[in-house]
Amino acid sequence: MNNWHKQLLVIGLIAIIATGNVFAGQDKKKTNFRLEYFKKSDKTEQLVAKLRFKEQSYVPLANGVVNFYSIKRDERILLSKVETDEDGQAIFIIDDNPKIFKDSLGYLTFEAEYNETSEYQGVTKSITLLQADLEMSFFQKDTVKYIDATVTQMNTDGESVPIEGIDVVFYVKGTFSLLKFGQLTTGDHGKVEIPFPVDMPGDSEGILTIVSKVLEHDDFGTLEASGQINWGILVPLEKEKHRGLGDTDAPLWMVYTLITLLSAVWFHYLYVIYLIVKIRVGKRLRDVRLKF
Amino acid sequence: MILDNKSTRALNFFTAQMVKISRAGMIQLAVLALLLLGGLYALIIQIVDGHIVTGMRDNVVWGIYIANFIFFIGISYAGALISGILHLLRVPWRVPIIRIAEIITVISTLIGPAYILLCMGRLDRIHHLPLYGRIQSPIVWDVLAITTYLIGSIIFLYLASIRDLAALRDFDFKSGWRKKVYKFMAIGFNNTPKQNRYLNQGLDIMSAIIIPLAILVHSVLAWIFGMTLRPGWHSTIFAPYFVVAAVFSGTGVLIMAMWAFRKYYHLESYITKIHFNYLGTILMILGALYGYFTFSEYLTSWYGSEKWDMEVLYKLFDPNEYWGWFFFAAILGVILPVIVILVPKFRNINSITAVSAVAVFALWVKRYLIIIPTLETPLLPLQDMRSEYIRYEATYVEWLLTIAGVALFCLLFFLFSKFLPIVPVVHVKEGKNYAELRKVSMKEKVKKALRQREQEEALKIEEL
Repeated sequence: MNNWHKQLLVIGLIAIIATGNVFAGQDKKKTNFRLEYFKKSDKTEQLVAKLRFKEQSYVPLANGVVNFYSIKRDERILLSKVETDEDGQAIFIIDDNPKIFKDSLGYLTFEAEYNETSEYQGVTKSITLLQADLEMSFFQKDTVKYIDATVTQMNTDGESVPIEGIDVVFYVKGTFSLLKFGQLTTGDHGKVEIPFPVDMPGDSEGILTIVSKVLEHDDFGTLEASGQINWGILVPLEKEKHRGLGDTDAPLWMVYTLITLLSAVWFHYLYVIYLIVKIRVGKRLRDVRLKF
Repeated sequence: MILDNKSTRALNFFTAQMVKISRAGMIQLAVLALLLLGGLYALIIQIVDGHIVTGMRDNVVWGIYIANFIFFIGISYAGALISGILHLLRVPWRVPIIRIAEIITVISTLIGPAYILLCMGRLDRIHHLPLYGRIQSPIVWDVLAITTYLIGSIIFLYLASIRDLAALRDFDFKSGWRKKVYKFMAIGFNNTPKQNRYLNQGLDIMSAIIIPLAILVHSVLAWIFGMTLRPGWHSTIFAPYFVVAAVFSGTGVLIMAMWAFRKYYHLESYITKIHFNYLGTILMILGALYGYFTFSEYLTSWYGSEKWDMEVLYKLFDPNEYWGWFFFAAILGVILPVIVILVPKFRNINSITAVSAVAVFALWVKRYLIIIPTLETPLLPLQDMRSEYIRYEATYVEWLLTIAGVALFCLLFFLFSKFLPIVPVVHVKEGKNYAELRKVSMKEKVKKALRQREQEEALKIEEL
């Protein structure tokens, strides 16, 4: 057999194997990633990778291992391997790890990777970000109460520089969710000042938790700041108890009905038990009479 | 206690069977024990690994455990209906079947609530229910009602057994434990007029109170569903619908139990075709009533065309989802018993028992269909959920525990029949002589007719 025949045969075999792999790959479930950066109120920075796979729609993939890398030019430096939870989330905390590479302009580039398995396809997602900071303070001018928020960024010289044109959203924390009450864009000094509504109900001491956020910014991700202040209307603890379906105590008619029904039945039970006792007592009396 | 000849004969007949276990009985016991072991294995797995081993998830939070619970509480109706109503009405043919019915009630009321415990996630917090339970909650009503019902059923069964316990106390048993237990339980009953008066009074009270109590128990159970704003549950007719379904299934199980004991203990002279025919007729009427309720329930939902109700209906009528089971449970399981019992040609002991079994299984499936499709249709759309969170499928753990429940029911029944005669022996006269009573009444009718004819003829002669 000539060389070109051999080459053709090898190429053919490779093609067959490759095609097989392609089709085999098609049987695997498709996956996707969502990689986000968060800076919390306590200044914790984290990367959150949400891994999902496709069934009828995309659903969370639990117990999948996600590799987090720091990208240094063309080099990938492995930072951590994190397993996804029931919601398909893998969280990596950005700390002072020397492996995390920052370029000359202050940009950090991360990559999250989920390796292909026998069941799921592999997926990779990267994110490039600048580290910024959101600070919040409260002050009062005359009778008007204001919230002040400042967005800053460290420049290459290590100085804090205000950032202009960033949307900041303000919320009040409720029992179950955040209630939005305003949104402003930062000005020249990276600042916004928003007057606080006067009719916001607080707790028994009027304390409210105010949260300000920069949401999913292309460069800075999601930044958050929060603080507590007693600017709310005092809402006294409810002293008068109500009776109803949704209250702690049942409506009285329900209590009375239940007691009446149960008493009626249990009274009859007790009476029947009394009759059983009488049957037994009758026997004892007869035994005593027979003895005499 | 002095017994008449018939009672003595009956006592000898049943005690002979109570003290021995045949080879078939041993095999039956072994099979039941094996099934129970399977259930125990599943229980251990569930305790060790938690509820993740079941098919229940955040969305479908109830599965076949709750279906089993409703099923067992439903069949407990047999005792309430047959014992209570027939006792109050002094129906003569009730006697041979009354104890079977009462035992069904007690055993099923014991097993049913066990499934609630299996369904609960945090059994270590069970004491929170009496401590912090809210009276407004139908679940608290249910706990109170079932506990009261169980205690009432036990008292009723005990009262109805005192005469037999006294007869057994005086029987010459070889085993010492039997003598001691019967002596203790017979509480010195000697059939004196006074004792009989107290006993009859107690029985009358219990049979009168057990009927409304049973209705209340199943109504409360229905209200747990009916008072929840979920499609397929929030219905005003759920309480009577559940009550009718419960009596229907209870009667079915009673017929099956009668058939089994009749075969196993050769009770052909006690449990006759008449009993099957009468109970079959009750089953047929209840089947028709249940069919009417089912039709009314689904017609109203369909006609209202409310969005979420329609979602559930589409699932029930979709051949790829629940249509097969719905057809069996709501149509075949109702029509078949009615037709077989209605047409005299089809009606015999075996056919009545067979359609009872179909009806009972259909009603178990119906309970499944009440719970699962509704929970698979949440009022808020589900996103980003895994399929097992949306669709429920019972796991092998749940099936093993379900089968174990049925096995425990049969085992307790079997053991009970070894402790007390399955047919009341002392009071058996009334029931056993039913055929004779009929004969007597027929004879009396014939005599009366002859007398009338004679009188008419005498009058004619006088006129002439």
